[in-house]
Amino acid sequence: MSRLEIDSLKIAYGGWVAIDNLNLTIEKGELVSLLGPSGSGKTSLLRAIGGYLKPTGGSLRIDGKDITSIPPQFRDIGMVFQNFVLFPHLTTVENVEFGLRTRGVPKAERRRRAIEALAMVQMDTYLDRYPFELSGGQQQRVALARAIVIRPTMLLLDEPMGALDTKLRERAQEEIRALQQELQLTTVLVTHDQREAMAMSDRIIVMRGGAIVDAGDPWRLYHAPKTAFTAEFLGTTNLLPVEVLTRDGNRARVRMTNTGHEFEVEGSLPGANAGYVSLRPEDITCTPSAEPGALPAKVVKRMFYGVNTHLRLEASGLGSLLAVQHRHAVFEEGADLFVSFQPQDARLLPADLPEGRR
Amino acid sequence: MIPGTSSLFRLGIVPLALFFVVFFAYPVLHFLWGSLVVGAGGASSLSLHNFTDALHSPSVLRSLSATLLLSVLTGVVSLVLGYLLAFQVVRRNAVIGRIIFVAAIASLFTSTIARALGWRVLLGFEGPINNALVAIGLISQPLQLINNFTAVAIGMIHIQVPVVMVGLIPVIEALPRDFERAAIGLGAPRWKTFLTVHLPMTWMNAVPVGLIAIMATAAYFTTPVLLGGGRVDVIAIQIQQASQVLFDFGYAATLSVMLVAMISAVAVVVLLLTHWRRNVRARGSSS
Repeated sequence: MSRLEIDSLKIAYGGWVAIDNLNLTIEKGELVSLLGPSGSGKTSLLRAIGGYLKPTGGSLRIDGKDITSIPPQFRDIGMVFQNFVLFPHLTTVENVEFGLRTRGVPKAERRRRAIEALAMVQMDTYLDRYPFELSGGQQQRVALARAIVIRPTMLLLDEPMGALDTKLRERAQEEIRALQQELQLTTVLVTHDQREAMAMSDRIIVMRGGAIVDAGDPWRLYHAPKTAFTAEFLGTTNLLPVEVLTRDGNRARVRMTNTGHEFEVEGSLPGANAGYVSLRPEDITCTPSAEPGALPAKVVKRMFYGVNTHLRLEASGLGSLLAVQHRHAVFEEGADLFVSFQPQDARLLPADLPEGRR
Repeated sequence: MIPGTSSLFRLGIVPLALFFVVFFAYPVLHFLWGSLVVGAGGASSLSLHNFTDALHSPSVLRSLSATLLLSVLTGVVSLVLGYLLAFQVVRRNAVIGRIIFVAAIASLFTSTIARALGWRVLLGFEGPINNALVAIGLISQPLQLINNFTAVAIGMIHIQVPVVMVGLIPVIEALPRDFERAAIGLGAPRWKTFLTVHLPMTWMNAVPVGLIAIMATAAYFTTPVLLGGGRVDVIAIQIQQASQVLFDFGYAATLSVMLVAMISAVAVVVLLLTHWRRNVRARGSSS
């Protein structure tokens, strides 16, 4: 479909800067997620791409054509809004036809294309239903059909699963991703659900305070985050505050700032003598008996999730830790055990990127 | 809930109910009851005489139709203007919106007599409007702009527009902006978005606000007196004359009852019309 280039974009509301000097290129057919806490600027960025928000500075280009000053009704960008915002006074097929009607598509072709788009989301048997007669999942499909029927250059998804319950959400994620890949739609997805971002995206842009703090494919971001912020935002992790003692290549020896415990970690954090160690719960090994290098710990709280069990531990030297056990491994609350981990699984990270590199 | 406690709580509204009955319901009902009582030679009896009298009086029927026309016209025009203004206040430029809002509120603080007298000056035979029209050569003789139905309608609309606008602001604010964004994003120009999305989604909540203007206008006295110059004989003027010039309270009460009946009929029609639409929507808004 189309390639989007965002060049030194700035968005300010009065004195408050929502987005500052942001550069981003989205390739043809790519699905990029904007992930970040509220106030990180992800919605502002999406609205700027859609044209609903006028940037204070910088430019946006689609396939090399500057669209910065083109109003939204001429951008040919499809958007699925939070809560879907189907027009309540129009039927399913009229909702989908809306964007074709504004483009002056003749009635017969309009109907044919609307039904075609509805068929893609398996909603072509609900043509004359009003939105209030549809379930949340069905409304979302219609909203998606309404966005793609205009053959948009890009698709924008503003938390499209936010209004769906968990079960439905996972199925919708799968379906939207399949449709996006089938149509090769360049897509930007805004979400605060890190699982959704990881499952659906070719690339995730992690935003904080109006800037990109990390970007990459989900696998890389999860396994090798650049900052402690990303590590904590994507998935679950234990962040241990440490100071760096010695460095040896890409390894370092660190000391926990609160307990004084020393251990070896991956990453050397050049130019800083303090940071965080990110240790994923699934990388912590729990054993009932002592092994070399293992630390004694106690189970404080146990939460059974079916697929796995979360253990909140109090480990000597490391403090409070979250560990994940597969469902067959059982430790009772209050049980004593030993924890260990491999140095390459403990990542030394800066708390955040330094100001200058934002 | 224990039945005893709930009835105990219900006792709490007794003072309020008493106050309402003694100071509002009783005087009004007593006055209206007067419409059914006819005194003849010291003895009084119940009769519909007043009503048959009023319904056979051409001047009363003329008054009723003038009142209905004035209030419905005022209601409709105020609703249209108030809606457009409220839309500006809520959805457009914040500075312009604030100026409109403050101007509207300021006019609400001004006495309706002062505002009517202001229109007397503006619309007068040698007033600024006539002078300007003559100066630009649109007319050769000053127009009769005052002391007629048009003048009263202008004055009433001027009074009701700010009220309706303030009432419509929450109606427009209640519509999430994403609906307009969706329409614009699908290629609809702003005016088309307004007509195809905004109006269909808000009219059933906006029209009842216009009803307030209709009801308030129907009972208005000062503006028709000051701008009508005796030529616009609305029912409020007839009531005032009956009670304070002729001292025929029975007849004044009769006219009041007829005014209430007429406006209630208008209200019922409007509310049925909008309630039906809203019911359809209510089933949808639960999602």
